[in-house]
Amino acid sequence: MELNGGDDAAQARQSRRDWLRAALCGGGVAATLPMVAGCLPHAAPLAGEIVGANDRVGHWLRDGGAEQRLAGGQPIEWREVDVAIVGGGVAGLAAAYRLERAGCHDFVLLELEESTGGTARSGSRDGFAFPWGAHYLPLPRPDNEPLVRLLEEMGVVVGRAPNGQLIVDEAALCRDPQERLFFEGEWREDLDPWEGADADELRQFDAFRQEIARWIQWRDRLGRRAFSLPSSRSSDDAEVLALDQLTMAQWVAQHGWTSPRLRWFVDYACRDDYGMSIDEVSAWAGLFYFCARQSESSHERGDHAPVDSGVPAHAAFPDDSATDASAAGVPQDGVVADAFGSQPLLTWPEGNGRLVRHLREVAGDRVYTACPVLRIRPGTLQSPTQKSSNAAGDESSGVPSNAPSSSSSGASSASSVASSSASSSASSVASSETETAEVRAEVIAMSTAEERGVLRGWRARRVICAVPQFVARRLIANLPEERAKATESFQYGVWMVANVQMRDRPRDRGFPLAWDNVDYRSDSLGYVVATHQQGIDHGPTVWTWYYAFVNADPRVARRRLYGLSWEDAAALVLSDLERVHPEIRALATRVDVMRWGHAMIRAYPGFRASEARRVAAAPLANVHFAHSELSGLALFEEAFDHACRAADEVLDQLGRQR
Amino acid sequence: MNHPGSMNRAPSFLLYINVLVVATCGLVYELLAGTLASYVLGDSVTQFSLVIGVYLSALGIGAWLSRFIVDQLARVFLEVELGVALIGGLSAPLLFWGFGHVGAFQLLLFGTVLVIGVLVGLELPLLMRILQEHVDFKDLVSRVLAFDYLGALLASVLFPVLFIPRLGLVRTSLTFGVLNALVGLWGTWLLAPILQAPLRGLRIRGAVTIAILLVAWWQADRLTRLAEESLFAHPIVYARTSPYQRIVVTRNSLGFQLYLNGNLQFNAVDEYRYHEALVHPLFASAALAGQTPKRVLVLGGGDGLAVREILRYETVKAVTLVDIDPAMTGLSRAFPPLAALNRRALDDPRVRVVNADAYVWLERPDESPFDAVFIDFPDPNNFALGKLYTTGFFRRLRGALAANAIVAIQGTSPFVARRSYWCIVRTMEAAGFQVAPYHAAVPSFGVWGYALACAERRPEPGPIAASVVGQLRYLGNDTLRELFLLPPDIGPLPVEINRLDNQALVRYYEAESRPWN
Ligand SMILES: Cc1cc2nc3c(=O)[nH]c(=O)nc-3n(C[C@H](O)[C@H](O)[C@H](O)COP(=O)(O)OP(=O)(O)OC[C@H]3O[C@@H](n4cnc5c(N)ncnc54)[C@H](O)[C@@H]3O)c2cc1C
Repeated sequence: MELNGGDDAAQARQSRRDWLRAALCGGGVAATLPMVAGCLPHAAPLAGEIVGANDRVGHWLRDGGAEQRLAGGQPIEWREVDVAIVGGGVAGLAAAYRLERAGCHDFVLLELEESTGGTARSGSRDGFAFPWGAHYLPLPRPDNEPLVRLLEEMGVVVGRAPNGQLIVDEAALCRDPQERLFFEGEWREDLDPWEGADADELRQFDAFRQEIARWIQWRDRLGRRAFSLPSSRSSDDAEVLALDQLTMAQWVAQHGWTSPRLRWFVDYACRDDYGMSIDEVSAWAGLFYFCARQSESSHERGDHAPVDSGVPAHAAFPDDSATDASAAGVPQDGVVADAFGSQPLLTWPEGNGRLVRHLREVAGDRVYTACPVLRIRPGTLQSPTQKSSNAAGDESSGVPSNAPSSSSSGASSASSVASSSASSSASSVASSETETAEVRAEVIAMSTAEERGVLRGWRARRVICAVPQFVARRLIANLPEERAKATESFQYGVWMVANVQMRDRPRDRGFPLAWDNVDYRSDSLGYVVATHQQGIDHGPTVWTWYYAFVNADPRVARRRLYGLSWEDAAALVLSDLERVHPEIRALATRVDVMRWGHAMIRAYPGFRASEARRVAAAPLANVHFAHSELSGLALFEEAFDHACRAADEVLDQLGRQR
Repeated sequence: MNHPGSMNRAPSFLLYINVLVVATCGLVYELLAGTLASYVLGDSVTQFSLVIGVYLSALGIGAWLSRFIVDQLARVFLEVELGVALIGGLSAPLLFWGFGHVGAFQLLLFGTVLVIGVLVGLELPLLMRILQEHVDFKDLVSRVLAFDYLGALLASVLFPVLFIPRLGLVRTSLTFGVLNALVGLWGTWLLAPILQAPLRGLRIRGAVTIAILLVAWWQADRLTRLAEESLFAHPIVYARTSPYQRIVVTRNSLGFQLYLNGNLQFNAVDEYRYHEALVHPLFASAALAGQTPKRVLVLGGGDGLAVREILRYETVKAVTLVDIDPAMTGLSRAFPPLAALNRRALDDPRVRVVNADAYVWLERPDESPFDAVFIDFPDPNNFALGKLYTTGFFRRLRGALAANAIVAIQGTSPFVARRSYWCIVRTMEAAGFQVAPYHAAVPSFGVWGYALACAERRPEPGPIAASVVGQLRYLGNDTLRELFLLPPDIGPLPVEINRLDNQALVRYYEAESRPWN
């Protein structure tokens, strides 16, 4: 699991794995590749390419391309619009969706890439769809109303049982078998490395589960859970936030748990969800993973109590059994939580690309792709009433705390920001009222498609900025000092994703191919089978392979990532798969590689509880912010929640009904 | 017959061992051919006597031909021996493969026996002529013939006792081929004094022969797996691994059995019971409701046997058979015994064969709606099959049905796998069908479970069409009604519904069938 140095003896013995690590850590690649390429048995000609987040434009922006381009010319036209959404990832698309559903149709959405979706983008080839990033969504709990409504609209949630449980279209639930683990020479069902574990290790695992169970039933004085999805509903009690001050490894150590298998289990979860190792991720985020997806009703059904712990279900979850009335009569089509008690997973062949597609369809022709935004100039508000800067939305999701925009009061810091940009903005909305006139925000974007380099401008009453902070800080003109500083706290993990096309499936030892397939010894996160959900169980398929660069300085990891040629990357992917599938090279026909230089926000200790996160989430004059990273968690639910919050802020201020 | 110098005395004794091996191998090839023929063609008396007849007469032809060889006796002897090794060694795999692929199997069979016989027939006279220089004719004849018959004894004892049970036909054949070739190679040293140089070519040929046979040994898994021979009750006559499954046909004196992944799909002796029970209750039930199904869908059932029953109804206009495995539907068409059994049903102009996974095909069926559907999948012993019994699958199926369409499904044994059976029934109910469970007795399987399902009403048993009932061997109208009366020991049990995301059925089936295996 260490990517950099720090090898212990056991790891050192696993030479292949060291090789993978060495190669991804730089240095090793050039020396070892010829060797690997030379000893391939029946190596079929392999096709593929590096696809990708449009790094060229990104790097151009980083290197001051926008300034040059803006200095060199003006937009060929200016259009007026109520809301300009910058960024077409899940957050941007969900904001558009929220506006549209609330009756606000006058918006544009500007996206850098040729397709929308951001890190939830998907691809397709030869009739197979596959994810490039986000690939699943745990079924939300019934009380996550906005998200449930989206899923109802999509036909994923088809109804509600009398007990309130969601009834879900079977085709969207991850098909069984969901996971398997290659452990000690063969594939085993689920991610359970407990085969042959001694009593002490099992005891530790049990204790771990009980500790998780304790946090699941934990409630603060206001009745909030410690960890809830979206995270804005989680408790901000000091006891919970204290977890953000230590790493997951420290938290495990605090409990005296030393089991290597438990460590693997927890580390894998952290790497898989956050792209960070157990030594890097905050315990708050680590526990969030294990606790927030807990099924509402599962606790009472006994079968989800900590297994074999001897603790009766009701003793383990007294709180829930007292409050939930939903245990009886799980409907036939209702969801059933898995053995760890988490919500079932929703997934599609193209992963969360399906959710993206729906959102994108709703946004329709107001979406401009291949249209990176070069500049956002905040305007001023008509109503000087500003949202107080602590309204980060975390504790007020979807319910802005401030008054509607018609009320007016004194000036705020944001309007001074706005006034500095007002000079460059000729346009303002004429207002018959006597208060400060509203000055629209300006958004300038450049086409990278047919009319390459052409600039267009939008004057918007509100902007929803749905790009990551490392981008936002370059786009926004005259970013206040405090905000600029806050953006520096946002760190991003580095990932590599490969889609491997196969002419056929390898033969397996042990449990058959599942949706998610993990090798216990590998540094990679394993692979997800894109054809699984379609019920295609034979013949050609596509595997999506994931790798998170952990235990390395992201800047260093990023350099390594971009230093990899396609040949390097494909060799890495195949040699990792080869350990569990010796015939992989004879079966793989194509390896396409996605480099995610800024894949997701890093949930390092202290970030969740940081002031920087709140500052970044607060509106800046008429610019509002939406992005999953504002939660410190790269999750669909978080992107969606921030989008709803930002859209609601905007709707409130535009005086519309939601 | 002029050869330089004289042979050492030593080899002549060793040459008798050569005789022994040649004789043993020759007889083994003959036994193999006879056994294989009786396996695949049945009627062992006829097959054996034909093979023996052809073989013996070929020996005669070979002996007669030996007179035309005047030069380089030792070299020709060794060449012939290597030839026997190669052809004899490959004979069983060749015949095995040929049975599944070649129309005129008998021609291939007797051709092979003939060639081997001729070559073996050449060997002995040649050997005797080589030895006659050194040994008294009286002694020579007695010794050579004694070793020859000893070899025959050895072969006939070892063959059924040791080789066939341990190695199976294919590997026995290859093993003796290798033995044969090794002796031939060894002969190039043994006979070196009377062989004219160069010997290299001969030795290389010997080595290549051995290599070919060893590779074939190693590859023999493609025909039959080593472990498989003891797995099946009866000899394997056809085996093939398609991308989807392992197809094995075995045969005993009563007929054929088809296995998919080791599970019996039908036994020719009583398959009519299984297939009559699968097909006719549905038509009878439709008739009761005044319907005559015209467009029929068969899911699975690549053996064509259900289609054979369906085609008995003149009123059926079109049958679409969706089976995942082209190897299976191909076998049903081209494998003579199976094509005979299903009466070439898959070549009937009313029948269209689609090779696709039924779950995937039903997502966008290229034709529909259907008036009747027969589901004849293998038992749910893996996840890929388990998905074909889920609510998700049955809902998809409903999308391809005409109003009042009836579905008949095979549902494994309610005796062996009672929960599995009821899980299938309840799952269909959960998908919106009204289900009438029924069963039949199929001796090869035991008590077998089926169900009729219809979205609009609960199917009831009715009368079998008058034009058809007379053709049936198992079902009559009284028997049919009784199928719907389930004895209590196979009655309902509480079960989970089988869904794509829980695959409850695969787990039930695994647990229930394990004790029986
Ligand atoms: C490999 C990987 C796997 C993941 N797996 C999962 C998963 O299984 N489940 C899950 O819930 N989450 C997963 N995630 C997290 C995923 O990031 C979030 O779920 C969610 O998609 C984030 O959406 P977002 O809108 O907040 O951010 P982003 O996806 O970062 O969207 C930002 C958008 O802004 C655009 N943009 C950037 N600069 C500009 C500009 N100048 N002008 C215009 N547009 C611009 C970008 O192109 C992008 O489309 C995964 C992430 C990665 C990288």
